[in-house]
Amino acid sequence: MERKKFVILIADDNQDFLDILIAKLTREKFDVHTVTDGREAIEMAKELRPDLLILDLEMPVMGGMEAFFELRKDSRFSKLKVVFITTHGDDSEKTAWVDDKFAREEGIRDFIRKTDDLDSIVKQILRILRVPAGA
Amino acid sequence: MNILELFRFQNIDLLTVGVALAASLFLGGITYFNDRRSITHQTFFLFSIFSACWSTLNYLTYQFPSDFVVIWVLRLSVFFAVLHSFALFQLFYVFPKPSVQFSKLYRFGLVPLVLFTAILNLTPFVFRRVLEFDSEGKVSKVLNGPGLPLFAVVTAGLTLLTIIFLLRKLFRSSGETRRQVRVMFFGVILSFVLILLFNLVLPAFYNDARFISLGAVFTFPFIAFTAYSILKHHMLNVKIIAAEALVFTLSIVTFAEVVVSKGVPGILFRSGVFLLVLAFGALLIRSVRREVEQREKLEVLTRELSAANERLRELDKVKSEFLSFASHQVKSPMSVVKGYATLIYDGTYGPVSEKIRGTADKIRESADRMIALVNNLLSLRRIEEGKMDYAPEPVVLQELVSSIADEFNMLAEEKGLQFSFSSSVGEARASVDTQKFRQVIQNLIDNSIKYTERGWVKVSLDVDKSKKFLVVSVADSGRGIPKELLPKLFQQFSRDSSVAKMIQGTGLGLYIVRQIVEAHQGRVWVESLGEGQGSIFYVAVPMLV
Repeated sequence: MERKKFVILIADDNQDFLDILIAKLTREKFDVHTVTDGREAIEMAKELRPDLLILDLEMPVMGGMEAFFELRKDSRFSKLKVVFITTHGDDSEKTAWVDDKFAREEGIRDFIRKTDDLDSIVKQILRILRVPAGA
Repeated sequence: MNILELFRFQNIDLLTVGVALAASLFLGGITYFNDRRSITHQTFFLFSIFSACWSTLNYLTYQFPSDFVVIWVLRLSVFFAVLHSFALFQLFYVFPKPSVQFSKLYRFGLVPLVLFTAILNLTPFVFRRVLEFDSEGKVSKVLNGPGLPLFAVVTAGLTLLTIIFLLRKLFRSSGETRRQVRVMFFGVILSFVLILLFNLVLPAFYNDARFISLGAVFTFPFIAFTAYSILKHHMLNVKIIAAEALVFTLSIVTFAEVVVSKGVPGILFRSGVFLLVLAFGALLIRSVRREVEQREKLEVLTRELSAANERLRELDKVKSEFLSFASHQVKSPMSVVKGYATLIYDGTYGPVSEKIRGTADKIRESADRMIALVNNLLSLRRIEEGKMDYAPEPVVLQELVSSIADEFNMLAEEKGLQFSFSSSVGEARASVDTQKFRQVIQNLIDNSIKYTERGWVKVSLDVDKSKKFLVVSVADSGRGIPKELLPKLFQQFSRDSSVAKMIQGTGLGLYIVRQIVEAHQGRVWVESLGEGQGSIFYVAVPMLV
């Protein structure tokens, strides 16, 4: 059965990595949109109302974390699913908070390591999208 | 008047002189033993000895009513007077240097002249004989010989030279030396004023000669100030000062006992005690000084060591920060390399030949190895620095291990291996840091798949016999591990050399695994029947009840 075509908005300042995600996710039948900083991500999200927002933590103009909290101020985005991208590994303190209950309650679902296999990234995204928001 | 009576009547006099003498010799000795190789310290010691001899003889001059004794005391007194003047001159000549190259004129002119004059003073050429004693039995007139002017000229000359060098040092030196010379100058002035007052003003203008014999007391200020200025930096140590003060007090007390004791046996006995106190006191001070010096050396070394440690820590911090920065900088482009290679490999960019597909796969694998290496280095750094932070929480281990195993399904399938996960523990929980524990299990499964060419990889979760631990086992039908390698497997940088050629890796993975598992109060071990027999890795962590 053909699944729903999810809309994904990705914000990352690394154009190569964006190209790779666009190619992979488009092939996997996602509707992919990209921006290159947190500010643009907020504007685009308001317009696009994506099913999933993928934010790089470190970006010029506005980082992913800041953009996320900015968006959360808008009640329309209270149930938005968000995933962060990082180059850091499992053992980084920069991603440790993702495991926090607090982070989960805030709607932060997971983080994607740029070094992960593309297939496992796709699986991860699908898993997140299938879980009902707020659960 | 015999010696005993003399002691009885003159003991206050004698005690004062004795104390001043002992103090002078004592300071001279301390200075000398402080640095025996320094010419300044040597000269000061000589000066204190000559000064003591001269003062003693000066004192004795007026104590004996015998012609023979008095004339020899007088001769000895002027003998030491010359040496005393010379030592004082040399002190200001060399001060404050530890070594001085004396000129030829000094060595072959001045020194022989001084010695000649001093020895001449012992002969009748200077003092022929005593002419008369006064009513109190003190010597009042002496017949001089033709050598006396030489003595006068040499002593006056030396005194003049002393003043010249003192003033030169006072005005020409700078900094620390100048401060030292100023202290010495103050001592000179003090002694000079005392001598002027008691040996000249009082006898000449008030006809009071009682204090002339107290020469040692008057020269003491100079000796004390000089010793202070020479030893300034070394004398600040309380422990040494205490030892010195103790010895000095003991010497004075025992010396006073000599002075007030009656009868020859008593005097002899107490003199013996006094000498013993002096000798042991010197030993005591030397040992205390040595101990203090060693401690000071140790303190200096400790300070240097802690400074070096501080620098090392800073360097280490810089190194860590750089490593962290560089690692992340490497990982970002590697993720791009890996991503593009994957897109070519999996056909996202359209169909490619097998050759290109295989090549893309190799690129992806290399990128993965590089990323793993960097991750391992980062983990290793955290472990080594004790910065690995653990956030343990109760976790249903079956869910966690199952989700990890799922990630490897595809990899095993691609390699044509049977891959399975089974659990017999249900909802049993363990307190683990999810991220770190995931890293451990991932590492073990990844290894098993990597080292198994054909067959199977089985992941299981069970409770151990003691029912206290949950045990994850990763078994494979792969290459196995040689017996001699088993004990070395979880150490840093150990890897089977024969395997190394075929499969690349850092050899850090299992070391990190062990560190993480042990941080969970767990245990990791491996069983293998040998090469080609497959292997089973176990990770046991305490089960929550």
